[in-house]
Amino acid sequence: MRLSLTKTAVDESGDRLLAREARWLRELEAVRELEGQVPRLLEEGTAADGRRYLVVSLASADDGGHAGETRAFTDDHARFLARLGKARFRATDFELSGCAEWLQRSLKKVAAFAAPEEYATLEEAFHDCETALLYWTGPYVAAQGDFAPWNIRTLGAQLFVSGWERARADASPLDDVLHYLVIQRALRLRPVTVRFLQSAMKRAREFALQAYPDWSWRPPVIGALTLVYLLGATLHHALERRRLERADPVVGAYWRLLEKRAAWMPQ
Amino acid sequence: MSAAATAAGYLYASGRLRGRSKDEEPEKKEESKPPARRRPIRIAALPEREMREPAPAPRARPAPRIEYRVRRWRPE
Repeated sequence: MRLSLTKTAVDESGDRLLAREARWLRELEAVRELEGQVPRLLEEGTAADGRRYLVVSLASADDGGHAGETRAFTDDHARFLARLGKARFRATDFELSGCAEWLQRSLKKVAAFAAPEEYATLEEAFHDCETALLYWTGPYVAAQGDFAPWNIRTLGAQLFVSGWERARADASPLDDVLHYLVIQRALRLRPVTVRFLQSAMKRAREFALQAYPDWSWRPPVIGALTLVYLLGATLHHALERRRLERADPVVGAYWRLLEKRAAWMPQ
Repeated sequence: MSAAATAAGYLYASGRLRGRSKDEEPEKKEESKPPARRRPIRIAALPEREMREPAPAPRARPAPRIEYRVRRWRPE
């Protein structure tokens, strides 16, 4: 017997997230390298209350074994992200990427409710991303959007990754790996120090060298893409809640890193 | 849109959405030990520091400026 999961929206934003997830699951179904590692879209429709619902498959091992879980970023995680990245891949400059466009659009929206000094910090951080990536052409890829243990099950040597409502194309190739490494620490209320971030950046660089060996991964590029991730995650939270909630453990930790970026961004 | 923790992430971190993890350390029951004997705290008066000149204010890092965009030339 195989299990499935039904997700039902309760409001309009839920409808949009489920629509997004359905689109991504349909697209990922065509990626042979990810077969068995992402949910299959079994059914989608509209419930009696007019809200969207999806029925998706769950992780199950061929031998009937149980799916496990791990918090470490393993080679299996790296392999999955490399396969996902190559499923939708574009080589371009930062200023022309979907990633930069999203950051700029989000900055404009956040200007409506952020305090002037907060907006100035965000804008300067974006400016630093642009400057550091000005002469770098690199891969901009498909990203899962919330690549973290709560969305991942281990099935032997393979992963099963769910929660595709925040997936997007043209993302920074380091977004998912940095998210996996940093978000857990922030949510567990452990300090996300400069030293910790630098070790995460080192791991991200190792991933990038392996997954995208044809590109240059000098430390300033890694630093700039780390800033892209922190800025993006902060803006995402701010847009969801219509305010910069620095008391939130994730926003607070990321905000401090944005402010102290001179301490960890390589020159 | 960028990577961000979903509600599932917050629940996971709070322990309310946690499956078995290979990384979970088994809870160890602390063996009953006699309370450690603390050394008495000793306080000594520190010698007065000589008055030093205040440290110079850190030089403000000049903000990077782009006066014009340099684009890479690519052949058609």
